[in-house]
Amino acid sequence: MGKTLLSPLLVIALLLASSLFHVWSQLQILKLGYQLSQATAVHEGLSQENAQARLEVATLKAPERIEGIARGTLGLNIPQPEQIIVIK
Amino acid sequence: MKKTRIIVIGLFFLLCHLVILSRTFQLQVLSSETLRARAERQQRKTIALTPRRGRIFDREGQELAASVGVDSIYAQPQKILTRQAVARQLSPVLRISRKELLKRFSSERQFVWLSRRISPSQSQRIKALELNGIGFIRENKRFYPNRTLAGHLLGFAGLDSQGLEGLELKYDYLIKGESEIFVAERDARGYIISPQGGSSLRFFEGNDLYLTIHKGIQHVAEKELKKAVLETKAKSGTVIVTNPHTGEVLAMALQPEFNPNCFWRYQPSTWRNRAITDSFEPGSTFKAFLLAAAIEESIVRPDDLFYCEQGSLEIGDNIIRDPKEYGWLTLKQIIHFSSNIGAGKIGEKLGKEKFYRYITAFGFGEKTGIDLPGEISGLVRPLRSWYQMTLRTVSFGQGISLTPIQLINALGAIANGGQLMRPFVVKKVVDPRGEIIRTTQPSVMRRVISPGTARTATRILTGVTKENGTGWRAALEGYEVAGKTGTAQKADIINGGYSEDRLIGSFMGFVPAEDPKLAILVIIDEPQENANGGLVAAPVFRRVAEKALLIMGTPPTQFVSVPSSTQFKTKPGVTEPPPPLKIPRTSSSDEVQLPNLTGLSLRQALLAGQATGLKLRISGSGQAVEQRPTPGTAMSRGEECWIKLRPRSL
Repeated sequence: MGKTLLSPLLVIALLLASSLFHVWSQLQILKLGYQLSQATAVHEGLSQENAQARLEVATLKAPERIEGIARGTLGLNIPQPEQIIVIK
Repeated sequence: MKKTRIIVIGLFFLLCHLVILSRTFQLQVLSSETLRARAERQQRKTIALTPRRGRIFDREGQELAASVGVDSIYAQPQKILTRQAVARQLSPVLRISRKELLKRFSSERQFVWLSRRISPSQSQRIKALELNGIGFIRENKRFYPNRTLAGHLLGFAGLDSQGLEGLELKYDYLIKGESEIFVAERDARGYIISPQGGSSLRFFEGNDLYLTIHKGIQHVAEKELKKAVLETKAKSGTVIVTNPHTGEVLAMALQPEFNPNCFWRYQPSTWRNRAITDSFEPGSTFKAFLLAAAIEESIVRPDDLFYCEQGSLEIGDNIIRDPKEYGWLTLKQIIHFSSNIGAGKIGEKLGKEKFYRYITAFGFGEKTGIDLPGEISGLVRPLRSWYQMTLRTVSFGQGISLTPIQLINALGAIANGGQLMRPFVVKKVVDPRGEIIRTTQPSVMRRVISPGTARTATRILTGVTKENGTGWRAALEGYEVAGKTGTAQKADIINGGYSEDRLIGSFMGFVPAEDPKLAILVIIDEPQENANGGLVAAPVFRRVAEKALLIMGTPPTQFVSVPSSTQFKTKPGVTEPPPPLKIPRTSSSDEVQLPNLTGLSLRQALLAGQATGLKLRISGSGQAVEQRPTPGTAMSRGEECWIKLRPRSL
């Protein structure tokens, strides 16, 4: 009696286990999907920030601005030919 | 009884099953297509990606153009609850009148743009209002961080990210990127579960361009040109700087300038890159090519004499004039003093067939093939249309029209030893993954003259910038400059002939003459007072060249004399000013007495070495403590002196 009951129960348990695993894996996929989506959004945001920062650097490095600071604030001048010493 | 009950319950379950089965059949089979489509509509979200335009860099990797994402604002009029209130709130932020906003809200359409590419602060303020029926779309906006710098070269891109002018137009197909649509799954709340193919978003971006332009040299060229155009009250101006050995364009500056960030504020005629799209009659600069052709054909030697008719030569109804009453001049002098009569006589000796052959060989009358849009070929009359005077006038640059890029490219052929190079602006194209997909190699179009002719022509052209030459203002201390001035009358379209007061002053040259690193062309169009090329354009050449050579780190090729009274203006405390140098000289001019170098800093010692023309071998750092030979020793220039430096004791 015990043996005859055992095999169907085992089959049911196995079916149940595999079903549960399937559900778990689907949930995991969903969870990872959300994470991926968030990571993509963060990546996009950071790329955007990076592009903006680079642009700001380029704007700050505009030769007109640099020359203005060099001449105005730092009091620098283009060296005259006799002020240039060639080392090599 | 019990059996009946079982049968009833059985039938009930059967009925239930039948209902379920029929519903299943209806859903899964009969309506499957419609329902599947509806489910996909609900679960999937289609996202349209606007491509990000590739960036444009100078030759050193400095950004000249870049795109960043900014918000564009739209309205869905049907969803707006209180139109008056929304218009009142948006009007001051968007700087659009309330009336205009209400007009847009009353549109029958479901989607109406309110403003494209608004600033981040505007976007933030509107988002904070949390208005119904108002939405945002991310779009890319093009920025040119250096404002007017290289504006004519870069051109600009339109609102929908399409190239409209300059390199943005020419290379649009490479830098615009591809519009892409991708599908993502979303949940019941509308959140995106996983973006399919999201990892490859970068591949929709455009490629980056790396130019041959040097930002520093471009800035110098623009600044000096602007100054000259303002000073001379000229109509416009052009400066082109190239590397004559490769054909790379290092700078291309034009006046009046425009800012591509707000190109719509300028007249469309200002956008035109006149260095390639407009032609002009070059005047005396063209004599350089006559010279090269005559030498190559061995019809003249540098010291051959020509009679220059005391400044006036009448041929039929025409009179050719020189700026001064010259008598007999050698070929060299004809170039140095820029005699039109002399040039005409050289042309006569060369013959129109040969001269025409060289004119076309130097690339005049055909496009250079530079990678910029809108290039024209200029105008060289076909040989059959050369009349009696044509040969003489073309010899001094009248009756032929060419573009500035053709002129500087042809000069490059004399500078580099005789080869005509194809000019180019884009050095390489790099894809978003950083891989180089295209590189431009210098390309020789043809050999025009032999290296020997180029050397002789160069030697003669260096005389132009010497004391008596017309281009002496282009001379640079420490470098030999070869060049030619030009002062040309502009054609008078209304009355025919040439205008007396509308002139073009120009100077073209290369430096250092013996191994040219730069070829520079300066054109000042219609200066108000004096249009002499040697007066208005040659100084611009000098100022651009001296700074560009500094930027490129090209050391002087000639001895630079250091006046003993050289004073260094430095901020107090920045560096120690060197003491005035006293260089004792011996009787022979090539001999100097070695000064006492001990106690000097490295800079001061080097300066002393330069002043005396002696080579220094240096060991250590700090202050000079020992020297060999001993001070006072008579040495000749170029000889070596050894000094030892040691850190200054505290």
